[in-house]
Amino acid sequence: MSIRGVLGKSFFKYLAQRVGQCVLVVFIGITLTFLLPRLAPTNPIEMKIDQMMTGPMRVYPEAVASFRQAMYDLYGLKGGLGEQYIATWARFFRGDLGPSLTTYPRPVSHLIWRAMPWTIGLLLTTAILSWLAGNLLGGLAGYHSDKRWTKWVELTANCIRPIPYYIFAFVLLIVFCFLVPIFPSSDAYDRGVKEGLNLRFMVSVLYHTFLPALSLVITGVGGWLLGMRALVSNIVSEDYVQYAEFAGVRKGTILGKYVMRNALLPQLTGLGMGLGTIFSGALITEYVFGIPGIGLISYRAIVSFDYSLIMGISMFSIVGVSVSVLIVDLLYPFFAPRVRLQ
Amino acid sequence: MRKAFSGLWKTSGYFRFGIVSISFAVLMFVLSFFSPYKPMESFVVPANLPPSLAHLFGTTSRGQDLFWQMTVALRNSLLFGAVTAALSRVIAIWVGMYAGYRGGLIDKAMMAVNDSFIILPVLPILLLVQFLVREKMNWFYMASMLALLGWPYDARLIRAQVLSLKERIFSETAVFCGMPTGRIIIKEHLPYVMPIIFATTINNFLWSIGLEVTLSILGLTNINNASIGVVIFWANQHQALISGTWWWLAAPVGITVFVFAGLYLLAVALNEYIDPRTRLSMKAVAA
Amino acid sequence: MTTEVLRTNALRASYVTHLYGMDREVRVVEDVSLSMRRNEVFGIAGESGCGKTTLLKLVAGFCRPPLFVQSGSVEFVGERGNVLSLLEASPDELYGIRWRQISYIMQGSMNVLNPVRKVYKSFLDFAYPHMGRMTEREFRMVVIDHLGKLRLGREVLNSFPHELSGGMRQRVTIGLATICKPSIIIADEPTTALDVVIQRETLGLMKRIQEELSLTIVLVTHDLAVHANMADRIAIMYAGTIVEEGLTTDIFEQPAHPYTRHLIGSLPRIGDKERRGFLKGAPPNLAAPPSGCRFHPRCPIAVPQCAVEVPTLKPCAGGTKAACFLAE
Repeated sequence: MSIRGVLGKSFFKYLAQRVGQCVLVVFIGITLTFLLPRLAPTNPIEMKIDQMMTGPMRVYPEAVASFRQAMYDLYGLKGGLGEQYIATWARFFRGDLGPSLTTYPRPVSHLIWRAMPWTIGLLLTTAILSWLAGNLLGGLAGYHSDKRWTKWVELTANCIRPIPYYIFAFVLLIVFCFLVPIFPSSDAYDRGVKEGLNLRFMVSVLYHTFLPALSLVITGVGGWLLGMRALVSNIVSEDYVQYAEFAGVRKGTILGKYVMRNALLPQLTGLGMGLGTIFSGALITEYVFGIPGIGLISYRAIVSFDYSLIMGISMFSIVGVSVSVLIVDLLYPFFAPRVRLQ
Repeated sequence: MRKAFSGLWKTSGYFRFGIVSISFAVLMFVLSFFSPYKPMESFVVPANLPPSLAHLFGTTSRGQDLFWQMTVALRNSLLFGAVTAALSRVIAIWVGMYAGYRGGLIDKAMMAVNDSFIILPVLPILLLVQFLVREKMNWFYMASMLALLGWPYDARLIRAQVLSLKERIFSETAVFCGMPTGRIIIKEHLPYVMPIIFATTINNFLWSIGLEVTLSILGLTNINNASIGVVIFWANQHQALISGTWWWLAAPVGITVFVFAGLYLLAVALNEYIDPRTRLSMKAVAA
Repeated sequence: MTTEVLRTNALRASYVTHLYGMDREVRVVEDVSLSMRRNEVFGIAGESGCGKTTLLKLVAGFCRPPLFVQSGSVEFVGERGNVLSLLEASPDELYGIRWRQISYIMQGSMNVLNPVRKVYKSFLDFAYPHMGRMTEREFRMVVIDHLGKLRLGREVLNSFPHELSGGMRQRVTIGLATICKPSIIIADEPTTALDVVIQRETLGLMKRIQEELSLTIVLVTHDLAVHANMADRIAIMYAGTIVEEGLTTDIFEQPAHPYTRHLIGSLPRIGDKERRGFLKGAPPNLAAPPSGCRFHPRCPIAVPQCAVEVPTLKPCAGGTKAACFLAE
């Protein structure tokens, strides 16, 4: 891992290419979120107004009219399509995602900011844990493919992998919250506890997020395990591994430094791409366990016709994913001495 | 072909399971056309009955026969997956092969756009669309949307295969012999591309059903059109677990697991069979 | 010290696969008995696909499924005369002699070194455990010195394999194989991928090391010119069997077996203007080899007996041993 070795002319070319790709994705994504509402057969502002008018509160017509005006103003639905497009980009660069319609006038960015740590915390830890566990088990299974236990491991992984993650969420919920009630079934922490870096809070969080995290790790391990196992069984037949085995290099050294180190490289890229899916959120997991992350607030936004929140989340996710993929792409050459930056 | 089938059946547990699962799915599919009840009609039978001979999967709190409802639900979910898989195959093949053969700047441009679609997060965009379209969403449009979002990964795989095929000597030979490009592509190259297409189809199929179920569970799709996710949605709405009608949740979940696992294991078995390296590394019986 | 260092006894091995209802046995090594002596270069020649590499792996004691030994053995004779049957030895016994007594140069140096490890680390992995009581610093000096003899500078130690040229990598591999001063080096096509200039240099180097350390080299290549330059004795292999064996000069001057005669005859000589003949047919499919002598379908002088009985190696007039009924 030598920095001097990596930073050369070709690295900057690579950097430029990756940044360009990131910009392209953001461009396509934001344009998409701009076009979709304008192509849809419904008008979200009217829908919100309808919802408000059929609600339990009385609404005065003048209030509705000025609200409608304000909304049209806010979403730049005035003016031609071109003007609106430029206005959208202007707001994007200002970081202004508008106010949430359900918790007016609280800005959407504020809501996202509050929800983000939960989703990122949950998904980042489970992604890394399942990557580590899956690769370790998969590497061992691939290297010792002649032993009996590997067949069982492979079978289990193959059975778990196709099962959608929410099944595990449901099963764990049923078993550990109803049948054998050890864990709480909703919220990210106990209500009475004060937020912040205090021990009681952290313990409470761990207690509440254990089951959702477990369901996500179980789902995730299978994929990494099988991928690693396939990689390892290919690498085991490579010349340099056979050579080292012939020469009597210690098994532990071969497993760690010859097999795993080479197999982990493609898995790292995979991890990078997987990190990007954090922003899709484990929607149903959050829903089932009541974790107030991005997935859950997206759901609530849909149900309560909160247009600005949904738009904000879409934009945020697009940018978030592109940037994380970019970061991983840029870190990769430092781990792979043989990577040709092409 | 028959030899391959019987060989696979004898040696691969995964294959056997997969075939059983597919047979089950096909059976349910066919049965769905004979259902004596309209799928989403309520209160046609007594409610909350546990599974019995009269009602194989029991009945729901809305007075529906769960077994017949599941046949229709499974049929709809499978059709949904099939439509998405088919449409996205078409796009993936077209993009992958065109970019691969054209090369140059057009290839680079197409791949840049392709990668953008790989990176774009699918779920937030889907949620946005759901938000906008609501009940007007019919499942065909949704399948098309998923097809539009699900092709890029496979397009890349196809393109990679095309690129390696172009380099091969037999391609050059064919060109030298004056074979027209179209014929080269169809007769020489397509046989190599087909296994990839096939392998990715099942994955794509499962992915799209998975997404549909995700959205349906939350009640974000047309909840009057029976599909596996919709059944789970209604079960949740009526607190199936707490009120004791566990079969209402168990049936769709169980069927999902069975069909998904079966299709996936089938794909694994077939991939192992196609890949010559796995064939060689399998343990030999002592001569 | 005994003269023999390694021998195979009637070795028979095949690749066995049993898959999806299809059984296949490829009989790749058939009744091979060879004897290699100390302080010599023993060459094995044959065309691609005749089983040379498989034979070498077996000779080195390296046998993995789907390769199975059907009968016979490979024996390594230590300096004090103790015999170790390589294919049946325990991992510990094998560990004791690997790299210290027997080392191996693999075919194609492109991929034999771990791509994510520096060259020095590879030396540490392969050789250091066998160097006895030596500190790491001393070992490092030994490696630098050794590579220096191969005309490789210090900076090679800190490089990754892909940063070295093909010729340098080849020399590193030779260095790796010789640093523990083994009794026998098994070299599988060590110079095939190199251009002629580097080839000459590398072969010269190997010969020098062999003479300096009085070790044995088992050299496998299809290139008879290399054998002419390097080998003291040669064995000619065809379709998994040894068809002729003897001193290099005898093989070249008085080949007894029709196949050998054809091989030697096909070597171009300066000033020669005649057309070269070629053997009809193609090497046999080892999953369904010909009965009797495996060469008989292509042999210009075959008689009916050749299709029925398998000939064994018998001494011939020219000084070599050949497996042919018509050569005695």
